Amino acid sequence: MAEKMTTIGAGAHFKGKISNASTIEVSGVVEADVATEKLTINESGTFGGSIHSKLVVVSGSYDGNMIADSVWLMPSSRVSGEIKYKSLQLDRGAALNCRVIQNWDEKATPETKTTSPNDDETALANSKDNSAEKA
Amino acid sequence: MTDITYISPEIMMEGTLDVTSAKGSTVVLAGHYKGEMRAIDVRLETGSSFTGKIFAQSTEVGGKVNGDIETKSLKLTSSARFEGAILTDELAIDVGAEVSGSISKLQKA
Repeated sequence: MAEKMTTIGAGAHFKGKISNASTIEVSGVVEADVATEKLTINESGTFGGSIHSKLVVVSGSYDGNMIADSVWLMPSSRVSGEIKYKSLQLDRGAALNCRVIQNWDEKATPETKTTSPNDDETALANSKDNSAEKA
Repeated sequence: MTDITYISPEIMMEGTLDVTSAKGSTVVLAGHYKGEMRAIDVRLETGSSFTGKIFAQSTEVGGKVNGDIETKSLKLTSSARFEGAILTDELAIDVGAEVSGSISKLQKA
């Protein structure tokens, strides 16, 4: 067993908070807010809650707000909620019922509105955000 | 292997964990946990820390525990640091374990 991998086994039900994790594999049921490097939701796994991760692989069910660099939705995955991603792989068969936002930028989020006018990329992202709000 | 719940050393978990629905399910804690844990077998490894309550059939403690353990059989290894209440029918304490608190037999339901 990999030392730095946390597994929530099939039949296990966890509700709460997980922090300081590096790799998490879910085969059971998890209702939690998680910050991690890599998160895998296996076919038998169900995850509800927010995810902050570099890589998320979903084969099971997910419902919540996900912020990840790379998201891979396998054929058996069922996803609802919201996904903010940089790159996404969606396999044929994946059930996706959610809001997806590509290339989210932490600099463009309302919490840290310290944008310089010279930063074209940020300005563009902000204008996109504003138009989305008005629509 | 997917039946085992393993909490790795760097992790901090807070909440309730219930694995009594699957028979023979094991929880191995190497990291840090705060809250409630229900399982068949629980193993708290050396270096782990636990705060809260454990309900299990068999429990092995090698880490730091602050709280209550209710289990049929309990083993405290030499690296165990326990503070709280123990409710068990079978108890083994290795030389070197630090135990403070109360020890009593399980109530027959």
